[in-house]
Amino acid sequence: MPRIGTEADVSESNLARLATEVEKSGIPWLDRLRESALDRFETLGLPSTREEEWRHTNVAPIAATTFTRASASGGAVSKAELSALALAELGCPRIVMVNGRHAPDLSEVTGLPSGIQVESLAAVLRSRPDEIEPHFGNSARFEDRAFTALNTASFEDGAVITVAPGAMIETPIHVLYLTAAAGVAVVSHPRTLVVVGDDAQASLIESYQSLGDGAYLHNAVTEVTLGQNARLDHVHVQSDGPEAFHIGSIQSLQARDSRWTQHNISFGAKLARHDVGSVLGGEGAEATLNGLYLAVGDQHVDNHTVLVHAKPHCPSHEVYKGILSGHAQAVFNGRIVVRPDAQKTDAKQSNKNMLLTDDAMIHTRPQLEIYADDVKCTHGATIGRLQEEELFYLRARGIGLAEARSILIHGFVGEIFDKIAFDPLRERLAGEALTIMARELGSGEER
Amino acid sequence: MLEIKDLRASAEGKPILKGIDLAINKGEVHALMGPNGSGKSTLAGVLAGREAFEVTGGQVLYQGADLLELSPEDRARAGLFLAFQYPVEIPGVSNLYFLKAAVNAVRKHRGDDELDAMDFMELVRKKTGVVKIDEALLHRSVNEGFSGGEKKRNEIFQMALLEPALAVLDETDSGLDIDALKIVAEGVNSLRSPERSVLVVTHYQRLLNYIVPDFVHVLVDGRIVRSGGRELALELEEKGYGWLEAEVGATNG
Repeated sequence: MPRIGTEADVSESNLARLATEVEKSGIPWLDRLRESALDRFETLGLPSTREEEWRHTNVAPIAATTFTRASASGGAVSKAELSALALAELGCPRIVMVNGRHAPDLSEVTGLPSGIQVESLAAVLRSRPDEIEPHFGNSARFEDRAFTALNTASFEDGAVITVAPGAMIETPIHVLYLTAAAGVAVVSHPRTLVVVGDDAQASLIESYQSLGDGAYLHNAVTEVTLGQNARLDHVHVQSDGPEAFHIGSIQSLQARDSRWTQHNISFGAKLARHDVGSVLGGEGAEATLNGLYLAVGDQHVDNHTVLVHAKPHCPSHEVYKGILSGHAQAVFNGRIVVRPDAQKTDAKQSNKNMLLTDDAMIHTRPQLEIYADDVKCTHGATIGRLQEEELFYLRARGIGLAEARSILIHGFVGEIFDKIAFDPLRERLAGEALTIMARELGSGEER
Repeated sequence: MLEIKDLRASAEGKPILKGIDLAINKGEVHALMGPNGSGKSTLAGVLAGREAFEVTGGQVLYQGADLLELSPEDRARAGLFLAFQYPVEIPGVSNLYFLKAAVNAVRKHRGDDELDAMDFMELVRKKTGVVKIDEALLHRSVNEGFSGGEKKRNEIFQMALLEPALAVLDETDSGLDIDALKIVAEGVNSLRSPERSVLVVTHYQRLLNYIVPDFVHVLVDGRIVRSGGRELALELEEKGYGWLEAEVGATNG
């Protein structure tokens, strides 16, 4: 297959050189952090498929691309252009980054309820860097993650969401990263920091989108810190263009009795890799990982999740579902670590896949590492097809083949979308999923 | 309504139907009986358009048109209904959503306006009485976790909603206890009309105590070997299928 090229070679990539072009901030802790991140990236290099964590995902096409910094590519975006995107207007406050830089004209964050701040990372670093220092780089460790090191060394802007202790914020906040560049392959390193104080509650939507179909790289890092009894409902939508590369890490640290519900929805992109992880670092902390990936044509999508149960009485619930068509490939690697202290852990994981063609492929692997003796851990993986018998049943009731397929696909993905509480987003996502699959099935065999 | 002429069909290369002739007029109820493996369910499947069966000869005219040329959905839209022997479970798809899609697909074909959620619910409430279906079942996934009786009731409920011109009931009685059987039979009887024909496929005479047929046909080894009135079913009840199978064996031998 054409996308399996040679091994990644960091020396061929210009990503490290681009990182050196980023201006010094003058903030001592940040400049030190960036410097060590760049060192680390140069040492690690881009991951190769010889590494266990990257065995089925080859980033050679990224190494082989000469990137331009997105922020240097110009590319102003009008409100009308933005609004034309299916997932841009969700009817809630939003902060927009275009080509890696804050776009105040496109952002709508006025009139936020008290208790929540939504700001550009660059602005916070200019005005109050000390406030974010304790949280920055805390959960997104880069010692053994090359792309996180690269992001840390290279990011130019991003979003900071701060929720004050005790604040109950009902309105979701939308952080939208948009790439709009024509003719050149651009790279941006979106960086999102979310800090939810003790007893506070908030709802966040992160989305990654593009205008135009060109090649680009989103190398994103999202860090979440949840205080005691804090709650965050967190939807991450990756809806990149057909030639895009998306590498993302979403990491959270959870204090006692906190609850993180993370929905990871992945459409589009030629190559997407998501590392989702949480450390359940206090008793009674709860994590829900709810994932959906659709891959068609020759797309490749890889989800690696790691849940670390560090303390007793922490439940975790993980369901990842995927639909693959064409020659698409997907990887699901779900790791659950139960540390010796973490008695009474209750961890459930499942990965269900629907393969619509003979050439689609899924690599699925649960990885349980249990060092405590009084725990409940279950996992399971399924791989199936659209059932002929189910299709016939629907058709025998007058429902046409295309609609019958769409109903079955809707049924399969419904389990994931039903858990997304914000109606406008859920409806858009379900619509988008059906559009993608209808286009794919329509272009497939005729019957 | 339906005219089957010398119909031959095979499954996985093996001939199952070996020349069926059967005519059903408007408003008539026919019973098709026969021992296991005689081809009853194959005939029901061929009529509904199941792709696992290959038609190797003959013709089926439905309301004057060539039925075998139509896709399964077009047959359903034209008023043919198959009550499945084994109704299919569809996880994640609510029964109500499925029923609405089906009703609207058929309405659209007929040139009627599609029903919105409210009008559809009104129709549902009107029809739930037919088979005393529990409303809770409507909100669950299609047939998922339904008992055998609930699945069969759901089939007849679909029939009530879709108001077919020709209903084929494929062993709707199998696996039902007597109470469930009565409910299903009453449901079917309430849908009998001079405009609607029914083909009841069954192994047992028992169902025919409740759905009284106008004609009874016996299928043995892919052929209809005997046709008659209701009394033929009673004769089969008494004597079993052995004597007919023996007769066929003698003729073939």
